[in-house]
Amino acid sequence: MTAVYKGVLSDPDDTSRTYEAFTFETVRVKDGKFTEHWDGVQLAPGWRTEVERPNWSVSVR
Amino acid sequence: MKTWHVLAMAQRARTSRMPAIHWTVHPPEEDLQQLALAKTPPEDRLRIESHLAHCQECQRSFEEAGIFADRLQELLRSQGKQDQRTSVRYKVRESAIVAQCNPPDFVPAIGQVMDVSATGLRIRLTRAIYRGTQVQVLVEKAAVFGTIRYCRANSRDTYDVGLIIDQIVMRPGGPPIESLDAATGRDGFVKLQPRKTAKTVDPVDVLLIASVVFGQARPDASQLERNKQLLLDFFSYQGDPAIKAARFFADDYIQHNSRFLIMNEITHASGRDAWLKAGYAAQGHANLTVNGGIPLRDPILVMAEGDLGDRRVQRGAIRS
Repeated sequence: MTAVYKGVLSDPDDTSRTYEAFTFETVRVKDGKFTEHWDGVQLAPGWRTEVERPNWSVSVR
Repeated sequence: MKTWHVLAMAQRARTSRMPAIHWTVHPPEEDLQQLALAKTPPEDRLRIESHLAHCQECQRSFEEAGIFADRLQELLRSQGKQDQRTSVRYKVRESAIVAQCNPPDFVPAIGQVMDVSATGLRIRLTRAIYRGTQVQVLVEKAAVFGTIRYCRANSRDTYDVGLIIDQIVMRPGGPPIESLDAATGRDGFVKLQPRKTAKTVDPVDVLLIASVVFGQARPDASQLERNKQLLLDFFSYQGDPAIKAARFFADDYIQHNSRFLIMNEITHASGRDAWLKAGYAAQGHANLTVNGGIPLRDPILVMAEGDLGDRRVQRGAIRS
């Protein structure tokens, strides 16, 4: 099952302009429940550092 | 028709129903099945239909009940039998082992299933089983646990017992119980007709086996529509994450999002629990679902398996 979503976002180079952007969500469904899920999210520079800050272990446990 | 055909479809309708939060206010599943079979008394019909008008969950269940009823009719028609849409029970003649569980009786009886519905069986035996007895009935591909509701003596030293089904356990890989047919002449056993060794392949049977019992065949159109709605419901759900996870995710759910996968290394969780713990852990630290701010509501397209069909690109040249 795939859903495609459209958004109108601001052009970072010219904030007076907008552009159409798209993203997707795909799931595998079995017996009325999601079993797998894919989407368009990517890692960004520094993201791992962000999540591995020392206080994370505190908030997880 | 085999007993398990009816049982499998009944079980599918039962298991595919979404968990009810306020289940006591919903009409029982049996009532929805009766309504689908046009057997509901007028006064009950109004009550159920008024509930259906505003309850999406029961609308889905009723849709399932309708599919169940329609498939039974298809099966009957394919076998050249009379349309019994107004009848909730379907006649069968099939061997069955009946074991008394409570109160226990260690000598099982062998009988014949005479008719079957989504909620009950009628079995012919050569001994009586008292009302209220809990029994296990083994038929081909299924074990049924139920409670005896009546036991009537017939003219030829046989008894018809009716039981209401408490639970159905399908046994798709289990051996057929043809061997029962040879168990004749023993004290207290019904003499059964030998079963034909050669079986004809009924296309409807094949479809039922594939789609109902094994559940691996391509879903039907209404199932795909329900799956689409499930996806829409998921992204519009604003409630508690734990309830959301329980409602929408299988136990072994996997979120392939790269950020979630890294979170698994931190939370050491897996399955549905991993999604939940990742969300809690990331709260206030990082975004797990970054998509540039595109709102995940009102999708411009929802596509299910098979929606694209088989559209082959035709190549050719225009000739003058």
